[in-house]
Amino acid sequence: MVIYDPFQLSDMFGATLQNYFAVKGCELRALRSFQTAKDHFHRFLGSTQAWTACRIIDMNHVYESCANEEEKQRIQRLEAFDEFADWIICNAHYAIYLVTNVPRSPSSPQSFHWTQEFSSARGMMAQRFSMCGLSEMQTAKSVPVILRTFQVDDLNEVQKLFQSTHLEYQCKAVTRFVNHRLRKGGDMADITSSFLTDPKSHFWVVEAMGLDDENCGSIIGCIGLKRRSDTTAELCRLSVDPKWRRRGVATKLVQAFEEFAMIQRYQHIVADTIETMEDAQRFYTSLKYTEANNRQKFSTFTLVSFNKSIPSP
Amino acid sequence: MISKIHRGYYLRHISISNCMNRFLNAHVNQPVQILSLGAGFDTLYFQLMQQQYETQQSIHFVEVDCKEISEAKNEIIQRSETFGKLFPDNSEMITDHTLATSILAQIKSRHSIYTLCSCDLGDLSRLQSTVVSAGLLPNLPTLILAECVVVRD
Repeated sequence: MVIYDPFQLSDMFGATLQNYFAVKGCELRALRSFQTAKDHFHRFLGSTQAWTACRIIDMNHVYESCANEEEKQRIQRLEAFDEFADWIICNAHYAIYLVTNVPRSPSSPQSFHWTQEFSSARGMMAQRFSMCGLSEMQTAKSVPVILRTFQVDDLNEVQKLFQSTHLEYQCKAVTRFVNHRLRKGGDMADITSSFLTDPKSHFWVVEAMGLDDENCGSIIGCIGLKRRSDTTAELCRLSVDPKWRRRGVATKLVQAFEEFAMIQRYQHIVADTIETMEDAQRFYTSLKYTEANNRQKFSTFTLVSFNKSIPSP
Repeated sequence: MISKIHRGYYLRHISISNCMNRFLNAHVNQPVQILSLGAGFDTLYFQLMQQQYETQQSIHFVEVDCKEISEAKNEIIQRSETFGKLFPDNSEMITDHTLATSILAQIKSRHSIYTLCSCDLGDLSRLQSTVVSAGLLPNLPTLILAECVVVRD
């Protein structure tokens, strides 16, 4: 399904647009319930739906990828245009929504669904999976989870998850590292600025939809991608809630990371751990990451680096 | 102001066309279906016919909009001077009287079918029966297009 619709109308522009339509007698009724990207992801990927994946790309990003330079010059010659500021504001409030029910692509990393390939600008994404969880009655139940782009209102939960999972190591170096990332100026203090401003970086979360209440999700996992160079992506901040381990959450997060890295034409991935993080090291090895030859010794910790090459798409 | 509107429509059109072409290329050897909700006076199908003449992909293209719009569009496409320009040579109107009343027109061309339907898009059960009457099959790759429609309901 390909939808073209207004997007993110919670500001003055949005209020003016909604009022315009209301006065004309065709109110944008869906906006009563569906405002943010997260609302749209829940709407399309809630467990009663058959859709399994969704992307939302605003029209500024669509413009970058659908019209090449030659085409933009041609358009410019057809008609004089100088309202660039207005153009950008308008485009930020409209989006293409791509929603699909095609099962996840097979294990071959070269094979992307066409909805993944539309627009090299990634916009925001979400995919639905089922995982085994426990209901309040402690009975096993299949729980829908959504792996999606980080949203601003996820910040507190993600910070808590990052802090609690890393501090399990009870190691001074890790504590210092966590505090450094969370304090003002650290990348986990403002995830949107640190990871979602650069189009070649990203941050994902996994949200478990409430076992007994569909609309109540909680963040059970996260991962970040930082641009180390134009050819190298850094895998960082991978965290999974202890209650949800051994269910493939981290594997799904790394898979989303690697797909993004491939589409963005990165050639290498690097992931750093420290010597005490043996579970992490086993995990990366199981996903065919190779440990670097030397472990770098610092005064309070030893750095263990992993890397992986990415095939081109 | 006007040039911004022109650009906005242009960008919307090339993005939808881009998606449609990607969908068609992904299923090049299979019959496919395209369902355009709130199609209005859109000409995507007719542009597609001009492109598709060479590739011969089998497409069932169904457009749905409210009664007033669909009937006005039907009136235009049925005029003999426009029919010949819009549809490939040797296209024929299907005049099967068992077609539901919500099916205003169905035109069969060599490799594709165009169906124009009238239905209130807010009436989901009626919409479902309309697309079934139009002949859409649940097991074929299907692209649904919805421009400025989902937000209204």
